[in-house]
Amino acid sequence: MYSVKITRISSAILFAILVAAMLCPQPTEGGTGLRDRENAFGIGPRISYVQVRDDIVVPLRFSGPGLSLLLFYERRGLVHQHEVDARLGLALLRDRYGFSGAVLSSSLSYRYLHSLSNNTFGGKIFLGSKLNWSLNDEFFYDWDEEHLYWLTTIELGPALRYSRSIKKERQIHLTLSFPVVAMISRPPLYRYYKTDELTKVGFLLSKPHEDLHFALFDTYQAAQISFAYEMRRITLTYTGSFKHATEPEPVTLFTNSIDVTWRFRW
Amino acid sequence: MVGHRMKRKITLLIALSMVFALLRCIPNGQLKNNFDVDPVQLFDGWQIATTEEAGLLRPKVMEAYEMYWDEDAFYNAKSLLIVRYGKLVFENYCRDVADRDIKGHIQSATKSITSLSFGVARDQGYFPNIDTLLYDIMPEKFDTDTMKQKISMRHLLTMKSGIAFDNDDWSIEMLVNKPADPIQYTLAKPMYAAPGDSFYYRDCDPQLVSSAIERVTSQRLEEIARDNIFTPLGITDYFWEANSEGTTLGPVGLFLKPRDLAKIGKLVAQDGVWEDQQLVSHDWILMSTTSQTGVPGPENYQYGYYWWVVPEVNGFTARGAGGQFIFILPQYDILIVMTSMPSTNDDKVGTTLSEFLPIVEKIIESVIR
Repeated sequence: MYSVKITRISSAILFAILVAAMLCPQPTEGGTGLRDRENAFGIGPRISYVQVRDDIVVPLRFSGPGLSLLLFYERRGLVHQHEVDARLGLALLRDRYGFSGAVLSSSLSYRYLHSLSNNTFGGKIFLGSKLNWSLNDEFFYDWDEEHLYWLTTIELGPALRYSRSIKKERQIHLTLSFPVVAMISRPPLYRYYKTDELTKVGFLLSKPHEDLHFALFDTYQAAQISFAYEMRRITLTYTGSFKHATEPEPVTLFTNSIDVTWRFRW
Repeated sequence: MVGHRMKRKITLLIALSMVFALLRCIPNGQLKNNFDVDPVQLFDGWQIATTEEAGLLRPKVMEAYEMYWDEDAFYNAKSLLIVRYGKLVFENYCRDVADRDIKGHIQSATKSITSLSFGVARDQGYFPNIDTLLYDIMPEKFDTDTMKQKISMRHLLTMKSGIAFDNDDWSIEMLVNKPADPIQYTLAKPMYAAPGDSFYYRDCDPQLVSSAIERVTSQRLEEIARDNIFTPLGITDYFWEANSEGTTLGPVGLFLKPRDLAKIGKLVAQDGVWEDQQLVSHDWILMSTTSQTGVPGPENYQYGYYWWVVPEVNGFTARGAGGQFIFILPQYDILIVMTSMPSTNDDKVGTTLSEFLPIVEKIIESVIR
């Protein structure tokens, strides 16, 4: 009962922060090498190298390539930046014995950044926050062909960005974000039934959202760093993403990705 | 200009190096890490003895243990227990000693407990004739196929019903899709052979046995097992899954602790007697654990009533996917229990009976003659 209450309060706080961020005033400044104001929609593939270790199953590292589809919308100014991105991807993994697994991952995130300085190391520094929902459905089908494993997180934390124009129509962005509060869901340690409804899409979406509970740094650690090289139409981005939850048994996901996205600006 | 380019290259090189350095940063762990092999005296009904007291050569037992302990074999193993003369003489939980107190899915080893429970119902007079037709028990569930109406309890107990319902399909259709009337749904399947003609290992047959027991005794399979087997054996912490109608699963779905699994084995090894009480009749134990039919395949296995008979070592075993065994060697008064992660791909990660037999043979070698 207590945890349900905490869950509801936390959800309300997260929602309020999101709404507040959305209602922030729009930029009016201009002037540096960075573009003054820009709206952009983007789409592109993400090629990843994914590593997962979920100790509920076995304490083995599963790793392998992944492919995702990335969609984003950006509304950038020199003072405020709003970014929304969505991703859906699949990675095929193997452990040291060659036994197979897979991770079906999806995420939706919103980031708000506010300019802190106008000329630091030749660029601008932004500080803000990121709200992120991510779902990682893990299938370790050689080790457990009957059950679904997952790490679902709804997380909120600060985001920091350094942006710099390197020449006309060329920019670089270095972004760091890490959650400080999160709602997480993990499978129970013991499951007293024979088989999950793995063939039902509804189950794959709904089950990993059961028992979402509040988590702080002691039980959930995550960080994401990205380096983007932005050209007029195309952006190349390296992203390193780390997630680690400790309960009911540790799970760690580490992903190195390269995105190639096409931008449509107006 | 050159310096600027060089700087760029160096930056790129450093960035790439960092990426590659991070590529494999999650460490691998050990699958097996608990070395304790001597049983601990608990107040759970088990008496403890040393291997020597039980007439087993410890070095040979340790050779068996090392086979099972290997990181590159029996990947999914969780426990190995040896009982001789009714006493627990060896006990290891290779992943975590806590597994001793955690109930695990024994998969198809459940069938052997279904068999014991059927034996209890039979002993109580509910199934005086094992050739009773299922049609006589639940005629309203059958369609007009007259061949199906000839399916008897004996056919169901020996996997010879002839109903074409593969196990993978059974798991999905019965446990995920959950039909409104599971018995009727099963009996609506086509036949692959006439009843009694051919052995084909499948889950639908023991599920029909569970339904028949429930219909005839007005008690669920689990209730019969609980009142007549589990409670006298002191087994209180277990879980037995039921289907959408509330009928106990007959082929799978029983979760037991390893020591409790060993108690089931001890009951069978003692011909159904537990503390001077005949819980299951001697003749049912004998019938169900001796060969009632051959099993197609390269191995020379036989099948009783939901017990696998292994003439090669003159023993019989309950057997579940992944590597769950209650292996009984009556000639040596030895009982070996192995539990494993239950839901693994048996072709890759799981422990099959033929892979487990070398451990059994090594333990037989340890007997002091």
